[in-house]
Amino acid sequence: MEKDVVIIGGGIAGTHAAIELADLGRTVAIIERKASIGGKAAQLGRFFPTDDCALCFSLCTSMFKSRGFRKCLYRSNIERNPNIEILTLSEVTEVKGAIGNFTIKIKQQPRYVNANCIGCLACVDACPIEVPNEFNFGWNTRKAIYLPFPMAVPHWVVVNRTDCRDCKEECKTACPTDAIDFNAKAQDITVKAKAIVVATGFEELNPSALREYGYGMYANVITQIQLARMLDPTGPSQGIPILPSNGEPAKSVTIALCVGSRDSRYKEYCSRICCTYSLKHALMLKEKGVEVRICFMDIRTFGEYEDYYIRSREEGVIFLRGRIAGIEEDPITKKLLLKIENTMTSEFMEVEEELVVLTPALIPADGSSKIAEILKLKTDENGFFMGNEAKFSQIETEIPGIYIAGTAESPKDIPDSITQGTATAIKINQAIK
Amino acid sequence: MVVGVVICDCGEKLGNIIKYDKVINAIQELKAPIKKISNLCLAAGIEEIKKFVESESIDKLVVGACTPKFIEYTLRQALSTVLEFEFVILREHIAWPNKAEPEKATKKAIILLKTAIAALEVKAKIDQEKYEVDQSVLIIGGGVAGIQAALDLAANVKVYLIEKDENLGGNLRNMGKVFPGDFLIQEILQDKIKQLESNSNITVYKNTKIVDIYGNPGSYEITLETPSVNSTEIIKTGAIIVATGIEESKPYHLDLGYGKSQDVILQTDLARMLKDGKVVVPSTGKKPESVLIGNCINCRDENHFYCSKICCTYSIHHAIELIEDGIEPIICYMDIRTPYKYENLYREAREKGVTFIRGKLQSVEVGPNNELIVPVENTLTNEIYELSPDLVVLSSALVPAAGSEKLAEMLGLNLKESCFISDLYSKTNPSQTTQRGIFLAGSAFTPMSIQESMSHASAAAVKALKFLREGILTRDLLVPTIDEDLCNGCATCRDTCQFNAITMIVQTNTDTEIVQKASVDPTKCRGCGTCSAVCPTGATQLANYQRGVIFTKIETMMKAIKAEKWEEPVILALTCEECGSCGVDIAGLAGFEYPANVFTIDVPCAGRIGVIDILKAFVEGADAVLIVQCPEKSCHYMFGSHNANLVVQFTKDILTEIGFESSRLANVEMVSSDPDKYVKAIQDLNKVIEEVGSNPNK
Repeated sequence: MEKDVVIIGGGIAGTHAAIELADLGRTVAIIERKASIGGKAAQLGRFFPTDDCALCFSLCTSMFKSRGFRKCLYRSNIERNPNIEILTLSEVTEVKGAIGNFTIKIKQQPRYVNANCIGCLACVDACPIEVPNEFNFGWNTRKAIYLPFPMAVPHWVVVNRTDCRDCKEECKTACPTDAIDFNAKAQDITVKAKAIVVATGFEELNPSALREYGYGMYANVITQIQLARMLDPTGPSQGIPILPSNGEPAKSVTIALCVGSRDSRYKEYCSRICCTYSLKHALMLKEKGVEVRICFMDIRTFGEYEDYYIRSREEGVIFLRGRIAGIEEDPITKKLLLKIENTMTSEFMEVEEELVVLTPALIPADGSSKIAEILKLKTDENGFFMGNEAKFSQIETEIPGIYIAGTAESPKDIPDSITQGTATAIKINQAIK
Repeated sequence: MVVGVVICDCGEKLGNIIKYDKVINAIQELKAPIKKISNLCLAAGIEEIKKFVESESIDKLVVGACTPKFIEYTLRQALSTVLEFEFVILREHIAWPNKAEPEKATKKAIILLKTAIAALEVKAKIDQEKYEVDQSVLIIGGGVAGIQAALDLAANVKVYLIEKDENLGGNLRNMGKVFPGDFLIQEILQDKIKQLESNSNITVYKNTKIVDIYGNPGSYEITLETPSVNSTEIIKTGAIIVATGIEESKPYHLDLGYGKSQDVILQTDLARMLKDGKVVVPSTGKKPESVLIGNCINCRDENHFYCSKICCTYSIHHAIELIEDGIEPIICYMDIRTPYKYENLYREAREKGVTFIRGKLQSVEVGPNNELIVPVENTLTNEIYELSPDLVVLSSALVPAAGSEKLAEMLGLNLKESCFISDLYSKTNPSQTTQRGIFLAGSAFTPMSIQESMSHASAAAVKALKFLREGILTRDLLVPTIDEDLCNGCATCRDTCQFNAITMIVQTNTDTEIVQKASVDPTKCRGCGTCSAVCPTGATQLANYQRGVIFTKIETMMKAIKAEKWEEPVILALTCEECGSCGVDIAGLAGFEYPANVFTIDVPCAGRIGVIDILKAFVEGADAVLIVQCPEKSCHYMFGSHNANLVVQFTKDILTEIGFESSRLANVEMVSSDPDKYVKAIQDLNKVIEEVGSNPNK
């Protein structure tokens, strides 16, 4: 396969790089290791600064010449763009060559479902196997054959073969278009490309190492992405924040900021966007009548996001300056007892709380270090990819022909990720013939 | 004119819910050719439709299948002979949400298909028009963003760079070392300026002002004035990038001694001193022993609500430079906002002994001997200190550069609440303005660090290059037409349009009367149709969403509902094609089930819905009307959703006035991933109808 550009990571930044490059007449391949593009946005539900869907994408202007300039992922028709090829369930295993002449080896895991899938979901109804849905942190179930999420692109179901046990391939019988093929094997794909964009994204630090918060031990201590799943109307609790211990709606929530970030024991840096998305969540919770308390160090709603801070205070969110020193759980009621030092009054307080939402440090996505090794790219001490310092650029790297975009470079908000994804397009357009 | 119908049962799976034979019988009664297939979205299905269209010589096609968001693009590409389409969403809007009620689902499918056929009979083919695009870009502002955008674009197109000052570089010219490392920004800047000046594709105008801008996206005429050489020049460009940047506001109006004592200075002044390697107290010319830095001056308050984003980092960066020079800095702050690795600077500063006091400066008194007295409240300890630094440095709010407001007006751009230039939609299109062909780079949009400005400028360059790329701007003419006989020249449409697409053209101008008529510029219009909703005479009609088309849909729908002996109350939903219609799709895709008695009519934007359209629905016998729209804040067409809210309120007033229950009219603001709101709105309206009874016009 020959393409102008290979984009590693089909999240918001990578997909926008693809859209812009395709519009500039370049052919691209998006390498995505999940079954659908969309990245973290698919799980997050809502985004600041506009408080609407996470899965809103710029439109390929070369495809649509009429109304609109942004569309939901599922209606953006990215997968139908003649210049864009999406390789899902794929990971880069080897890269050789230099600008203008890279050879990228890719391992593609079988989907067991081919392009004949029409999304009728008959197979899903027929499948007898239910397993916890990892997309929703196991709070609901999915079948062994499933659509990753309602807006998934490509809009095809996928089989997790390890879940298939003792079944009679009911899905295959139910499929009207013969789209299911259990003989599919993993494939090695080689792509020749002139440039590479690394847009591998971020993930939350697993806060179970921070024992004072009791994450992983106490059912009612969750993280922001877990809260985002609860707040999603199409999520496991239909948009209602619930207590995982008993499934009851939560009446009050404490959000702890800077969990593992700005902390010399874990990550020294500030994760930049957590203050704002915590406040976005706080406002959404308030809208649902939930009391919200936020334990913070500094509120960093920089730029015009200050608006969120102003609105949160107006809506009655309680701000408490101080870190949570420890959490204890009542083993019977599962209520949590928080120990907090209020650094404004120098008082030590103990507060009872139903649900605690941790805001963990944001770290490079799992597998970033492997990509760095494969591409011989420089990362900073935290594992994020580094721009070209000599050029003072965030998107060009020290290796000509390799570019970075989005949260692979450092934690950042959606507009900044999209800006970088978009910006790589012009650099590439200049650099390759 | 033959209107054909294709229906797909999605691999025969929808056949369990919708009785396709009944549907086919009902459509055949209308004498419309109809074909049922099972795999419309696959290549084989498309081939079948092609043959069907050819053999029945079909001109316009109704497609009843899954949501057009999946199939419309492919169908339009494959069926170039079909003049116009109408889509009925059998899967996501009918079958899946009404799984438990097959009979109703079947009736609903018939009703909506009949409506679509009638609509196509009055819909026309949409023409395309092409406009030439001048292959050059005007960049306004020679700061780092402007320079970066020019360098990025010059490989492909001609660039004109306008700078009002005598030198390029903007704010960067006054800077020495800058974060994130200790970069010597002058080296980087000079290198870029050298590249710029040696590039034959870039023409730089210094000391130059823009006097006038005239024209359309693709061909602007810009009048430039360079007073220093007494010249005026007109240049032509296809696109414009606004890179006017920021400046530090001058807080004369605050009680901070600024303007009273020369020893109260701004960060930009300190930056200049640090760059020159000599920090002095202006009144004495001596090196200060202590410097008090006040952050968040003039911002995060009633003057400027926003945070200026980069001042925390540069004030700490400056403080480190000061302490290394043996000067004692104290920083008074509200919150320290040093994102990502800049946190390292904050830590370094504390380790090196910079004093941080949490408390905003409220006043600076100037003593009899010009000494500075600064009372500071430490909000962490509730103590009040009285400090007497040698020098006070204010980190004053960063505001749009002088003159950008006037420029925005000239270009027809809106300003945000923060007075920075508004973008079209900040989440996905941060470099695009509300005007097609005009783009934003750097801090003209919002305060940014140098690196962010450069990335933002490159993104603007991409958008501009895309716009110029084909040399031709192709537009589907999904724009309003204006009936000049009906137009009374009131200019309401012009004032409503957020994209400046409507101008009033004076036809006669005598002493006794001025006759002016509206005129639409298709290069600027985005096709929301809000102008048609506000037009008092019905002169402005959006193509394919004319009043006639909407009325036909409503009439046919209500007739079909009667013909199908639909017994339940009828909710007519007018849904915007953006988040509204998508939200209904997602409801189906995500497995929501809701009452079957809701019938949707799509409009491009809720702004298209006028009072008369809602009243028409009630006249025809709808028991309730639901407007489904995007939230005001994220309307895809800026003003449409707001206009819809006004229309709903006004219509409710009218209904109350004529003694008709206004509770029959409701609107729901939702984004695509809010299907629950749609479901709830339908349930609520059903309750209302239960209370107030059915529409007496029925």
